[in-house]
Amino acid sequence: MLNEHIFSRIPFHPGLLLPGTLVVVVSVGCVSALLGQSPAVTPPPASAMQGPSFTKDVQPFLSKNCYLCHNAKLSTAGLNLSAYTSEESAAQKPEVWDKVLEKLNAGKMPPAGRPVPAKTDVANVTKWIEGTLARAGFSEEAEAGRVTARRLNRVEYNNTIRDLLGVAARPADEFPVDDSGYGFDNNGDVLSLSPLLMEKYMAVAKTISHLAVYGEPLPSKPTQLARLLNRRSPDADDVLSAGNSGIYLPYSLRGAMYGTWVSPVDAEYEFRLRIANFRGDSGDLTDEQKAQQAAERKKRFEEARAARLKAAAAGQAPPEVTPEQLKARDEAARKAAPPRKLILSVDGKPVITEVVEGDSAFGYSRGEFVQRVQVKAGEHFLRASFPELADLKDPRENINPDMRRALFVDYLEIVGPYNPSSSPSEGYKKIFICGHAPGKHNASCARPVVRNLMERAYRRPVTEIELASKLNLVALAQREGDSLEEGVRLALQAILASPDFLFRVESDRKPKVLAAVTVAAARPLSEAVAIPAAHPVSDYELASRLSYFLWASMPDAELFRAAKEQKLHKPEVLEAQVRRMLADPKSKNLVDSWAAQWLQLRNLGRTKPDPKLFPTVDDELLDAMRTETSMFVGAIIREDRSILDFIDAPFTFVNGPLARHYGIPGVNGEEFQRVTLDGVERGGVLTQGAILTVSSYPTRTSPPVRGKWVLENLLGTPPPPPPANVPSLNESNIGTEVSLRQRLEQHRKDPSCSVCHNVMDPIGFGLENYDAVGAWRTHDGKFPIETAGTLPGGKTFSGSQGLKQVLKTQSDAFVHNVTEKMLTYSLGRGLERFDRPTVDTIAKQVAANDYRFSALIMEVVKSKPFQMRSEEVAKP
Amino acid sequence: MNLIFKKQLPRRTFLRGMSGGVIALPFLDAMIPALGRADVSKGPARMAVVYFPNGVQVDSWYLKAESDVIPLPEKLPRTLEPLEMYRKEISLLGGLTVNGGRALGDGPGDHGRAGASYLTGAHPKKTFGKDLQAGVSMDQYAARAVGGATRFASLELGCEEGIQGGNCDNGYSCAYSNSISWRTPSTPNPPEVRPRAVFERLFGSGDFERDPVARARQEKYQKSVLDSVLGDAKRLEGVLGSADRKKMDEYMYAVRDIETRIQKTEQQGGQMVPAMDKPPSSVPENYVEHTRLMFDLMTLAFQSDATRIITFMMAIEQSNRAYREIGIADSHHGLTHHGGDKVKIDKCIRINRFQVEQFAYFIGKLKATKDGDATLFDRAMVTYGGGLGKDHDHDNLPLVLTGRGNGLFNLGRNIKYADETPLANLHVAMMDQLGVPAEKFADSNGKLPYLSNL
Repeated sequence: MLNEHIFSRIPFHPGLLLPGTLVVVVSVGCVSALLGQSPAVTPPPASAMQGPSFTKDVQPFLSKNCYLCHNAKLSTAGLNLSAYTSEESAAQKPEVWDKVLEKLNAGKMPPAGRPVPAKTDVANVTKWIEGTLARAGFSEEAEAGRVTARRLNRVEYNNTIRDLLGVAARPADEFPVDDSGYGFDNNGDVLSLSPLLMEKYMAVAKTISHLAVYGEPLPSKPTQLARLLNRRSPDADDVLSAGNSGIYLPYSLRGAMYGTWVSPVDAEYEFRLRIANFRGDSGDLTDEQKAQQAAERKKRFEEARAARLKAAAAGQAPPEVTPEQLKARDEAARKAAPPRKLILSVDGKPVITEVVEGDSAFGYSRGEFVQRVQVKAGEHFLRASFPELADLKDPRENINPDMRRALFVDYLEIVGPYNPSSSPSEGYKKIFICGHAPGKHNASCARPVVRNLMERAYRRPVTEIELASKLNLVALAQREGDSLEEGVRLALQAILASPDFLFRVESDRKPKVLAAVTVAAARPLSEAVAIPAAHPVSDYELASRLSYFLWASMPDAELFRAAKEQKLHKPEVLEAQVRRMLADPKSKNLVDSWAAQWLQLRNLGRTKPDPKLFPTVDDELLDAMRTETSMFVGAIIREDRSILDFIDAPFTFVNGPLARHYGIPGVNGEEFQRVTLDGVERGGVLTQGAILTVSSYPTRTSPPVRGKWVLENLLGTPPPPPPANVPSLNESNIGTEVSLRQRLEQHRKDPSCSVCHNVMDPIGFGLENYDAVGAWRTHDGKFPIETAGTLPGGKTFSGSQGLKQVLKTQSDAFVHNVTEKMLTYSLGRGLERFDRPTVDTIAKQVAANDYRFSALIMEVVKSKPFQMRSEEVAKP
Repeated sequence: MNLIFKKQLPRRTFLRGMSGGVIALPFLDAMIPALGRADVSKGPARMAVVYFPNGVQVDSWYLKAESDVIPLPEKLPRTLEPLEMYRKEISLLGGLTVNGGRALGDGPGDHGRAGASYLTGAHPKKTFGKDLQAGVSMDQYAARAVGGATRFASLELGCEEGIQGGNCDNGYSCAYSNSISWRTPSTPNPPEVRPRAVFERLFGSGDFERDPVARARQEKYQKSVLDSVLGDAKRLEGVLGSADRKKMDEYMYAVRDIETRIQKTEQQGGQMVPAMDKPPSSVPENYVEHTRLMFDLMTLAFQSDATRIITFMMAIEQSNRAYREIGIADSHHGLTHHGGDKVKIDKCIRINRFQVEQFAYFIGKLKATKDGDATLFDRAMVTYGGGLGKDHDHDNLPLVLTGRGNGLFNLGRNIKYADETPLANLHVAMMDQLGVPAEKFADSNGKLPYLSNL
């Protein structure tokens, strides 16, 4: 079923990676392994040891719980556990048991739907494995690990520039896309630096340093700063540059227009808004009807003109239209086009409020609505719309038969600045801390100004040598006859292009050569295997780790202060700082960077739903779906809710259009509001439009893709890739002669497919009541939806509620998985085998603290890898 | 041409004073060597490699031919119809193989391997990104040898933004399908997709300083900044562990690359401004408009001798782009798994054909643009091809060759090479013409025959 695999582009977290050549792809019912060589050392028989035995404890367990898939015939994902028939043969392959141990400890195996084995049985097996691994020299100790110097990614760069200099520009939007690894785009090993990117860093360093020191170069008189245009149709075809140059914003069936705009300076700006009003237009008439109408109009016009001329010739006043006639005419127009409110808002505050009447003048003829408004420098969210249209039963009511929208915002021009503020910008004050007015600095300013800039930009104290290298640039500019300010600007340009700014580098102690880590035979479990020494990161480094983790930006003054006083590492200070940071609006970056990548929200809209099949889904609705999930995750963070709420929660956030899309009654208007759910049809991320859409094709749902999404992103057990050359799904008559379910069932008769699809497909079928854009349905084509499914091992369930119950029984796997995602993101490196104890500890603590979100964050922050850095072990 | 100067003008000549701007004449007749007749074989050779993803539908691409080499007929297969008007100016090469793209025991992942092996000939390592490993691509190998003559050793362009993600294709990092150009085996060159950004790279952002004193000072500042940050990098490198040092090496390489470019710009007489409007700041969503702008910029880059080597990706490998411009809402990659469905096959062909149509525009552009006493078409070697043939196979790859390569190529042929002929043999032939001595490249076993005289 290759066709079901084409979405394998969706990035996923690969599970834990073992060091060296041991690479494990974690999977449910399908463990694939590329096993390395087993250690040369042959462990002695374990019979010498007391404890569980392979033949008495382990083998029966495997037979009951694992052989179904991992047998000689299926050897699911290359793992045949039935091959090990004796203590001796089993002990030969410690790496196999290492993997089994990880799955058992994390609750990832047996897979969802299989009976959960008794805890005591699992404990016996894990104990046997631990003994075997210890004898083979596998370490059980958590290591700190080494994080490779992390280049700021695009989000971090923009945020850091904003916080460092108070400059609102988003320069990194022009940088090439960051590569990501292990599911996140903040991975030190993967983030590379190409010459192309370096060129942009150099160019941006220059423009940003100018902006910060001299402010935005303002036009000498107010000019048009932006022209925001509305798309004409959901397709891209109409977006041609010819003529209408400007920025095209997302398409809205309701004629709304929204986007962000950066205002260069505190000043007044003129907003010029034009709308198009084609209501009551004759687009739905045939050509003959239109011709007839035109003829009638012409005749009326000619008659009126003749009457006027006649009156003028007779020296009389032109004939008046009677009030009755006027009223009737107005009434007819009003009927065709009821008055609609139009609101332009800046950051949610209305700036222009008008009522668009239905009058006989259609089209663009109303001209522009113009309003001058005081706006602060920085990024602003603009929205112009007809809020009442949010309550249309079907947004297509706003579409004329000629496919043109009846009412829409045509464009918004912004002209300015008027009366710009002449006081120095925030950025200027952040730089010139000696407090003089522009142009009044004296020579003694350079040193503290540049030092302060460097320390904040490098996020640490700087040495005299480093300081001198940048002060040299100030001196150079002054020698060339430029001002001190220009000198500081030049120093800033170099600071912004410096590797100390662009990379988050953490210091090492002197690398030392450890004695070769030799594997001793029969090592007792208690004797620790030599692991690299680790040291706590400095308070400054910890401040950066915290701020880039929780804010995706540089530390603020308070974090710097705690670091400077060397108090940050103290548990009570650390905890207070974390709570403060989570409460700060900047923690929204956890939603936008961590959650959005974990849940694959960033893929939403990359391939849009087919507008022919889903005519009511426009860009605005996709954005609403994104907003819903963002607000939902934000609520879990802000209210410190249980992370199990991700699976199921009795609330969500919707606005009128999204509520109608879902069939939730009683929600109107454009504003998002929190709604309580009864949990039957909606609740948790699995029933949110964004997730349901991103795990579907543009034209239809795919139960296997959804099943894979759940296994990969919620349980951390992605199925292995399909075998090569599997036939494609015959789609030609799905929905008409055969249901998708029947077709998929026929399709997975092949045993090589069924091993994985027996898990993936039933999970996906549990969500079949939601179509490819997340709307509720009871039929697919002419076939009623069947959501009942049987997982391997006989567990049956039905619908999304049943699926959620199954997932709740897998809460260990879920918590482990979320922990892995969070730890990976917080560290900026892929997890290694030696991180397993860390993950286990965090997961246990989270469970012990009612699964609270803050517990997850706090435990990650307190963990060894987050607090410490291993020494580099030089290869002997 | 009725005016022959006694001496050659420098290639970069500026006209000043026109509406305050600086207008470069990319190639005035006056700059042509003052000889009676043009010698077409002598001039800078140029190379463009244009890549398209997701393979082709065999019957609509390949000709059925009795013998290995035949003249191209008037009627070309459906996908190639847009090139019929140029049938004397293109050759179709069949039978070429990239063995490194095959699974060779690594399981599925043909797209990731196709992209990364196309110009490297390497067998990419299956990884999520931490330890990327492909090979140095042919264009970069050539750029190292001849790129020193121009401001940009090479340009990497494309029409689709790469995908962020550790896993694009069954365990292969997205980096493999995002780039065909690889500077080192572990460093892909991500293509630039923004026409405005390409323009500004080539010609500056327009803040050209006209006062020579101020300009000299700016240049001095620029150099001091570069020196300063290189100093920072060296200081850091001294105290870092090995993985971090690798990052610093990347940084220093990139800074030195900029230094070199600045030097070259100075040697060649300063920044130049082209006679082309600055493209709009947003990336055009319309495919026709986007590709045309990029082809225009490529032409301009060759014409102004900013570079001699360009790679261009019509879309990333395994692209999911929907071609709504021709009424196709499905993802391109999804369609190629058609399983024999006639409707889907038809859509695949239409997409392939639509892309070929855009490429035809580039041929026209090259033919219409002068390069000294010849045209860019006479000078350049251009291939249009992909790393996948039929059904995600890595043999019998679709390939169009065009441009006369300074007279090297005799075009207008359909050439079917023996099965399993390495594509690297073509790389060797092209590098040879660029003046890059390469006896062997990747898995090559010779130089591709039948391109020039028979």
